[in-house]
Amino acid sequence: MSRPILWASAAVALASQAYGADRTDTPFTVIGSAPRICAVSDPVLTSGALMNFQSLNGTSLQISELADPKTLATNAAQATVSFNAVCDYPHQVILESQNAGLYRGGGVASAPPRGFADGVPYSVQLAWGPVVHRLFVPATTRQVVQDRVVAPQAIAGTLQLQISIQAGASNLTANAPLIAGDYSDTLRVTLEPQ
Amino acid sequence: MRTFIAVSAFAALAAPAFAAPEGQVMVDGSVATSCSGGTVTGADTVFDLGVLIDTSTGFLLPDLSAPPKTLVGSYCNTRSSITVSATPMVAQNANGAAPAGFTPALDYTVTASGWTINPAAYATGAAVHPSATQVRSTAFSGPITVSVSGFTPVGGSNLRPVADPDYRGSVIVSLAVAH
Repeated sequence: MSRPILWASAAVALASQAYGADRTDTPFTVIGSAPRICAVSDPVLTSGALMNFQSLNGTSLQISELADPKTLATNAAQATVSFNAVCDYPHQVILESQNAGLYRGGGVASAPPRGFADGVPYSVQLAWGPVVHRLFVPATTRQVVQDRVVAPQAIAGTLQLQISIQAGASNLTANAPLIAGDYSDTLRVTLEPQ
Repeated sequence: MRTFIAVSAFAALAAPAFAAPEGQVMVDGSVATSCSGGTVTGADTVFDLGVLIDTSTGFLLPDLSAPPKTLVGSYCNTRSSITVSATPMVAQNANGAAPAGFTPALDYTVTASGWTINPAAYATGAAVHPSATQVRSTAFSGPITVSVSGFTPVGGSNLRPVADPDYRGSVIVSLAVAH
């Protein structure tokens, strides 16, 4: 009599194993996205690299003395402006000069008298992570000029622009006297998708 | 039937010398040990954090969170253990090493609570995981709450995540018989 009962017990055990498990795993996924962004902060003047420039006022960089008071030839000047910036993907940098040089009057002005210059060339050296580029604006024709520089990777840190004016530089001849007036240009740096 | 009656009558005559006749049947059974992880409420197994970064700085948002998930119908009919494990969130489209200042991965911590006194916890950035497995000495049935928190850039908080529309990590919650 007992043997059939034992067989029944074994059958119950087998049935239980079919409905349960010693271990169960439940998987989950964690997701999110980091969108493409580029950001540039307000400029600051880099200390220790200032020559013949006054301090930065907002986004305006004032040259202390553009012309030599005796010869009226252009004085050398140099300043480095820095921006905290980030682009979290490969991008390009656009360096743009509104006038292609420092020009008198800001907008279109009449031609200067013979022997005087009314434009000052300058150069801008870009340093942005591994990207280095030099833009030279010759002040030969008042126009918008721009260079596009490929940055093949994400970059974060300090974007530096070193602005240099050579002594005696002008849009006429070397050491030509500058006609009186206010000289200016707008330099724009842009980070954007390639 | 007839045979049975005859034996019974004989037994009655012999009663003073022998114990009453009896039969014995042993009824035996067993229940196998078993654990079930249950099901996730709403069948939603995705912790969706949305946008991970501050779009004005590129840095990881400091308050990233996602609603916890609940496992219901979980049970173990014996002593059991609960274990959590996870992998960092990795930019699925990143190629090679990230540029200086950036990272293609995020660490975080996952916890599973409700099953044991101390939640099971796993930090993807840790070298060892002493709290990843917790043991419950008694059978139990009840909900398990699974949470993710503490997101940080792999490599340091000064790093920014590289742009990628698909950062992805995986979490596993295991319920097992503790032998």
